[in-house]
Parts: sequence; structure tokens; C-alpha cells
Amino acid sequence: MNNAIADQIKEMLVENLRIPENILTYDSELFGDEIGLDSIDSIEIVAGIDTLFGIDMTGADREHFQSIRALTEYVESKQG
Amino acid sequence: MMNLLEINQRIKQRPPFQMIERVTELEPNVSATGIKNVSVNEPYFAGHFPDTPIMPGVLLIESAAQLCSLVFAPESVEEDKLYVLLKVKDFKMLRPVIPGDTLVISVNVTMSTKSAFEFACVIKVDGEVRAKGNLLFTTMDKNAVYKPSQE
Repeated sequence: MNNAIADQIKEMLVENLRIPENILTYDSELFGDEIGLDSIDSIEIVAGIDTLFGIDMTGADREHFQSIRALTEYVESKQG
Repeated sequence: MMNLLEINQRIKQRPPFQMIERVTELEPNVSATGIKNVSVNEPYFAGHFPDTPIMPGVLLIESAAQLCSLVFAPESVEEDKLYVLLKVKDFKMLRPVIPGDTLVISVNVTMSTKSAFEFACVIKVDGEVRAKGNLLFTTMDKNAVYKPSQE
């Protein structure tokens, strides 16, 4: 996993979604009980990834949103 | 510049829920400034509050949201899509708005992606900021509005 990309995504989540940085790891379950994001947050993540990397995640499977690691791997796969 | 009749061609809100009466500046997909005159005859003042009429904060947000919807260039709006307010971020009501005030509302796009659009909004009266905050919008299919949630 590309840590530079992961850190950019983490910073975006902390900044845009107000997730406390100290509870957010690369493997935190974003939409489960751990962080508790909702469907509105997922739209903000799509917008954030688009802004940061120019990659459109509209329609991407849920599994790609599950953690910072999953988001990072999705971005890496699209950057090819 | 848009007058009320031109605004009515672009948005569906009508009295007593029309919160923008004139657009004084408009750069499509970028920014706009608009005006709303606040009259003691507004129906909500009967109950908010009978002894001390104050414009409800949610209606200040609505005035900014209506102006935001005018910023989207008509040619960029797909016919089967609807722009909807998704999130109200950090809105502050700094001082009450009362009958006789003229709201000068300014909205600027701060983020524009395929999935979401964010505006920074400032509402002033006599040059003084009365409310400010950000609004996040997205588009959704019109035919999905009344469909039950899948969650």
C-alpha cells in the first residue's frame, strides 16, 4: 500500500468528516461500529477522492470504501 | 442580474417559501449574490416569535440554498436530475435578522466534483455578517426521490 496516498486520504477524512485523527488507522472500519460513517459521508469521500486524485468513485463497490487501506488500493489500481 | 420573474423560471420555490427576490451578481457555476427583503408580513413571524419577531435560522440557510441552486448553469443540469441539499456545515447565526432587514446573500463554490458541490455562504445586513456557513449539494435522479430507502 502506498503510504503517501493513504495519508492524504486520512487527512481528507479528518478534515472533511471531522473524524478524530487519534482513532483513525489505515484499517479502521469506516462504515461499521468503529467509525460509524453513513451514506452522506460516502458522497463526501467520493468528492474528496475526486478532488485529491481526479478519480471518480461513483458506483464503486462498497468494499472499496471499507477502510483507508481499501480506498488507497482503489486509488492505486486506477492510477495504474 | 435576475429579477423575480427570471428567478421564477429557474427555481420552483414560491411564496411563502421564496427566499431570494433578486440576483445582483451571477457567475454560473462559480458564485452569486442575491437579495431578500424581510417584511413583518412574513407568515412565520406570527409564531417566531409573537413578541419579538426573528427570522428563523433555518430560513436563512434556505435563502442561501436557493441562491446556490441558481448558480448551477441551466445547461449543466441534466433534465432527469435534481440538485439536493446534502449537508449544512458549520452554519453560524451571528446576530438576529428582524423585520425591515435586507439580506445580502453571497455564495461561492469551494468544491465542484462529479458527485458533490460545496458553497461558502455569507449573509449580511447593512454590511454586517449575520450568518455564514457552508452547504453541500449533490444530484439525484428525480424518479428516485420517492423510492423507499434501501438501507
